Amino acid sequence: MIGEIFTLLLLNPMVNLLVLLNNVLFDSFGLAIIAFTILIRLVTFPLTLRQLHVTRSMQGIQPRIQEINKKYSDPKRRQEEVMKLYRESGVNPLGCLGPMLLQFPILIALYNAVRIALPNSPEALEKLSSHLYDWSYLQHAVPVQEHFLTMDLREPNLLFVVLVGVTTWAQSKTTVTVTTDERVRSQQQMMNIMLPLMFAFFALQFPSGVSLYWVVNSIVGVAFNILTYGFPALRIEPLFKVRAPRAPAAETQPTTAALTSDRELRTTHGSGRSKRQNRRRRP
Amino acid sequence: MNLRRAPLIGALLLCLPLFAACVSVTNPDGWAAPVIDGQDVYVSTSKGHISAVTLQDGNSATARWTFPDKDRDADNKIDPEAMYGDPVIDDDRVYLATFSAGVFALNKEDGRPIWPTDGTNAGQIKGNLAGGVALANGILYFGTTEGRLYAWNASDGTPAWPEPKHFDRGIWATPVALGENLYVATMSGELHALSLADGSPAWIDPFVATGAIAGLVALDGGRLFVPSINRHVYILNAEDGTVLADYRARDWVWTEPAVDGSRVFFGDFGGHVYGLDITSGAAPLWDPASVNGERVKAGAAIVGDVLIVADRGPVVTFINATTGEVLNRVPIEDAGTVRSNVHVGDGFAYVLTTKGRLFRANPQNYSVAEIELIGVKK
Repeated sequence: MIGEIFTLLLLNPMVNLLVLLNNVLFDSFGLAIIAFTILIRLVTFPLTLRQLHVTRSMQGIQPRIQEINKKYSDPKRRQEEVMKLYRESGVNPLGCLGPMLLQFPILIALYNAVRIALPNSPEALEKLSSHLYDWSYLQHAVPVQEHFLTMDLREPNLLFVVLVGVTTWAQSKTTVTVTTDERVRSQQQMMNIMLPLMFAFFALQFPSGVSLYWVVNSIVGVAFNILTYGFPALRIEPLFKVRAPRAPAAETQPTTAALTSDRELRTTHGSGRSKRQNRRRRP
Repeated sequence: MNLRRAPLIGALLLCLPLFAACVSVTNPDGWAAPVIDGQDVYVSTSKGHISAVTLQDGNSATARWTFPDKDRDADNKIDPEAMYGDPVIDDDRVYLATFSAGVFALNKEDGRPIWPTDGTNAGQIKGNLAGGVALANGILYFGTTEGRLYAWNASDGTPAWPEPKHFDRGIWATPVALGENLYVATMSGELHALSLADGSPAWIDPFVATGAIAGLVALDGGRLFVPSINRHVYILNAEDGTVLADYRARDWVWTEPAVDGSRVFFGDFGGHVYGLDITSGAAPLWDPASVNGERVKAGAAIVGDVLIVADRGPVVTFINATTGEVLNRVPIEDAGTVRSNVHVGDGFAYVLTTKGRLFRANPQNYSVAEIELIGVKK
C-alpha cells in the first residue's frame, strides 16, 4: 500500500518528468538528468535551508553544551541542563531530522526514477511501460538515448567514479561541523574521507546515469552550503542569514566560548539581549 | 524533542525500507520461447541456459543436455545472462543468441558447441543481443543493442560481411528473412529492408514508425507484422514498405501474433487481446477481450479455433477465436511470470514461465498441466 502510494505520488511523476525533459532537451538523457536534479533540488530547497539553519543553530550552542558537560558530572543532571539549554535557545536537536527525513523519500524516488527511465535490459523497458503516463509525446521517446558525451549511461564509468568521489568530498568539506568536541570532530574528518570513498565504490557498480545524478546533486549541495555558510577560504560570505539561537537565561548562560567560536553569534544578538550586553561578554 | 513530530518521524523511518524495496533492479532474465522439434523441446530455463528435454508421457520431460553445463570446466567462463530470441533448429544444429555471451552453434545431440570452440565470441560483437538469430542461405543474421547488424556464416561462425552494418539505434527485434530480403527494425522506430545477397538497401527509404520497434514477424502474403511500443500495430507490404494497415491498440504492443490464415491475434500491455482480420487493412473481429488487466508480453497461440494467451499473472486464458468469448482462465501458482511466446506442438500449447517451469495447455478441455522437467541443470 505504502509502496503503491510512493510510486503513484513520487516515482511516476519523476519518471515522466525525466522523459519529458529528455524530449525537451534535444533527446539527451544526460541533460535531462542534470536539469531534473537541479529542478528537484530547487523545489526541495526550503527543506534543505531549514535543515541547514538547524544545523547551524546547533553549532552555535555547542560550546555551551561543552561547558555543561564539564560542569556537571551527573549524567541525569547534565541531560536536564542540555535540554534546558535547547529549550531556552529555541533549538530543537531533532529539528534537522524532520526536513532530512522528508527529503529521503524524494531522493530515493529520484534515484529510482533515473534507473527506471534508463532501462538496462528488455525487462526494464517492459517495466517502464507501467510508469509512463498515457501521453504519446512521452511514449514516442522511449527507450531514451542512452549515450551522453560518448558515455553509455547504463554502464559504470571510471570518470564518473572519480567525479562522485570528488564531489562527495567537496560537499562534506563545505558542510558545517556541528560539534566542537575534538574527538567527534576527528571522527567526522574520518567520515569526510570514508564517505567519498564509499560512494566512489558504489559508483563502480552503478549505471553512470545514476552517478551523473549523484555528481550534480553533490555540486548543487556544495552550492547550497556555500550560499548558506559562506566559504571563508575564498572570502565568500553567506547569502542567507541564519536565525541565531535565542540566548538562554543568565543563570544557564555559560562562559564566553559560545561567543568566540562562532562568527554568526558574534554579530547577532538573541531576543531579550542587546548588542551592548553581548559586547560586554567579549574578552 | 517536539513530540508532535515524533509520529511523523517514526512513520517515515518505518517507510524507508519500503520505499527502497518497492523499486528493484530489473536484471536481464530472457524470454526465449520453448521450441518444439518432434518429441524434443528446447527450453531456456534460467539465465540464458538452454536445455534439450525429451517429452515422456505428457507429464514429464527428461533433460538430455544443458548448455552451458555447470559441470564442465570449459563452460565455466560462459555467462549468457539471458536469452531473448528463440533458438533456431536446423538439421543437426541449434543456433542461439545470448544476451552477453555471444552466438553459439550447438550440436543438437549432445549440446556441445560446434563453434565457438574456445568459450565465447562476445568479444567480436559490439553490444548485447536482445533478440535472436535469423538463418537464411547459410548465413546467420543478428542485431545488437548498440545498433550493429552482423552476418556470420552458419557453418563456422566466421563473418560473412567485412564489417557489420551500423544503425542509429539498437536492434532488439530478431531480424526477419523473407524472400530476397532481410528486414531489420531499430529502437528509433525504423524498419530497413536489405538485400540478402549483398546487404544493400532494398527499399528507397526505411519505414518509420512513431515509436520504437522491438518485435517483427513475417506474415503470409509477403506482409510484415510490425508492433510499435507506442501502441500502433502496422501491417506492411514487405515488397516496398507501404503501410497496408495501421491499427491503434489501447496499450503498448510488444509481442508476436498468433496467425490463422488472414486472422491475427495478439495482446497488449494493458491486458487486452485483439483479433484482426487483415485480408485488407485491419478489421477487428470482436471487441478486445480482457485478461483482467494483466500485461501480455508472450505471443499468443491458436489451436483449432481456441486462442491461448498467457499473461503476466501468470494466468492462461482460453478464448474463442471466432467470437472473442473467454472460455476459461487458469492461474498458474508460484511460477514467476510469462514473457515467452506460447508455442504449439502436437495440438497443445506450451507455456514457459520465468521460473523455468513448463506447462502444457490443452485446448480441448481448457486445462493446464505442468510438465515436470527432470535433470535440467540450472
